[in-house]
Amino acid sequence: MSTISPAHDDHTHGHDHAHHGPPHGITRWLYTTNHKDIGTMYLVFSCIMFFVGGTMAMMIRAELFKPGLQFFNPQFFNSLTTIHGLVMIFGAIMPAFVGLANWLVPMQVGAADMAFPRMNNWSFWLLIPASILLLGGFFAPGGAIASGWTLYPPLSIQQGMSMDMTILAIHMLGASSIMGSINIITTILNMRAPGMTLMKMPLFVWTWLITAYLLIAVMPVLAGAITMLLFDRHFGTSFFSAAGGGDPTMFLHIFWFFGHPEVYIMILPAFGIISQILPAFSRKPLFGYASMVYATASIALLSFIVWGHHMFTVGMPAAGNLFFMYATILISVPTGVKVFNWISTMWRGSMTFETPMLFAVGFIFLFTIGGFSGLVLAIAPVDITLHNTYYVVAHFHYVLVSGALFAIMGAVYFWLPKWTGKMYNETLGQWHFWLSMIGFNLAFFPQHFLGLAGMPRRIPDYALQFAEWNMWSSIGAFFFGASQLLLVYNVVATIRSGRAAEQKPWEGADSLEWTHLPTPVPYHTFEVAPVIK
Amino acid sequence: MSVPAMNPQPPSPRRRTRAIATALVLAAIAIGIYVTVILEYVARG
Repeated sequence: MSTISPAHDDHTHGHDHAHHGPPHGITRWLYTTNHKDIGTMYLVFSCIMFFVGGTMAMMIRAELFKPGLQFFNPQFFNSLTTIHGLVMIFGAIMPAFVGLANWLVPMQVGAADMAFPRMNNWSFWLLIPASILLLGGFFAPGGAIASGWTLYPPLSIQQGMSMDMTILAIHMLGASSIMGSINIITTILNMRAPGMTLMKMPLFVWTWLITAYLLIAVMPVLAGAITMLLFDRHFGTSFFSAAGGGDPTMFLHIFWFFGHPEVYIMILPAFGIISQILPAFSRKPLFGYASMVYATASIALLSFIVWGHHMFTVGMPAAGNLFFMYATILISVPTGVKVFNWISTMWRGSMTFETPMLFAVGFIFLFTIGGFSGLVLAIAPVDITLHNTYYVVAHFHYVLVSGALFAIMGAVYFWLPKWTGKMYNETLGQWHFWLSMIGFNLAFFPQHFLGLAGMPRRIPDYALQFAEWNMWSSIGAFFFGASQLLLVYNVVATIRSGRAAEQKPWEGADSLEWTHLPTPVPYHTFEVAPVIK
Repeated sequence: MSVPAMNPQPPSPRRRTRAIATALVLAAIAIGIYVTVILEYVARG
């Protein structure tokens, strides 16, 4: 990392703000344009939605605990799986990463704030009506949508008014994401401190820059698809309605042209987080910084040409299937570069295993399992057998829970001392990690076996031969869900009564927020831009 | 004394112009993609 010469005395800077604080009351949060306040609101919103989506997951696993219908009718069960997916993707994972970007990107590039602070405020507050619309579907006539989060026609054309609410919600969430992305790209490209060249930026900033481009490229594609869906439902068009000469399969192509880059939108910032945590606890610079940047960009570019692997079973020509199969397998090359670099970063490092590092190492181990099961599914003939089975459910939970979510939780432990000026309870953090690790694997590893044995996804009942692994999976899910309360308790206890954190609690952390700003960070930072040599 | 809502360090006019230009280009790309996706399928009849 480059050496940094402060343009002003940080402690004086901190003292300037010590005698006054941010505005008080609800207006602080309603009208705030401060990137840290907005970042906090995103993270709190994400946490709430994580527990809302998690409650649905617990209900799903309770239903699947044993064969037969236990609690819910099949329609409601499918609503649960659908809204669980939408809430976790658009309400929990994405806002968590945007919250982290809000907190960290300006501090890591040496900017005073985001480029467009008022638009930043609007991006966040759009999430609230959108989430009310999404969840309000449960109270609409006919109940919440049950088409699966992919909204495939013809089911999505036939469903009740909750589908219209969902379409409006997704439009709003998309607009929020695009505004957030414009803000992040503009901040990174125009607001960097003198001397902070692109190739000196921390990996988290790099991965978010690439993610923001992905969002701008694909969110409008999803918006276009669901606008056409809305027209098919209400205005007599037949884009996707076979009854009017439309093509339902076309929706799948457009949706997954959005959907696969969306997967990387949810994992690239996680790569950035891991690339910052590992060097800090290995007390070594990140191995292969430039190759990490190029690998991230390669993964992003390749994500545009692999959408067909989600739909091998729709009857594409063999040449199409082969193209998507080989292109998908190609992604393992830049991903392998990343895993290699992470392991090389740890190699012969002076490693310690505080909670953020545990989550980072857990991420590498479990995300790699998810990557390998992705390779299995990328093989077209295999996928035709495994399509829509629990193997797919296991695969994407290994990528999104032990991938994206573990990275987010590692990031919260890593930066909590910087944000609050207080140190979390390390013992409780380690308990949280190990209970999550055990609960997660117990919940999702057996789902590989269930999928290989042929158990289909999105069903409330199943044949008797699947009973035992489903029982273990449900036990693991309850275990994992309950252990997340430790995180909430730890964060709240830290804020209320944690002991004061050191200026730099992590010896190897070397990005600007650690080296150049006091702990906790003042309300306004970098009123005078730092100079990076 | 209360903290000003915005960070007291305003960006320079040149930086502000560049930022607005960047944002407008990105917004135009997003809107362009949205319109193109729909028109593509409208044009197919």
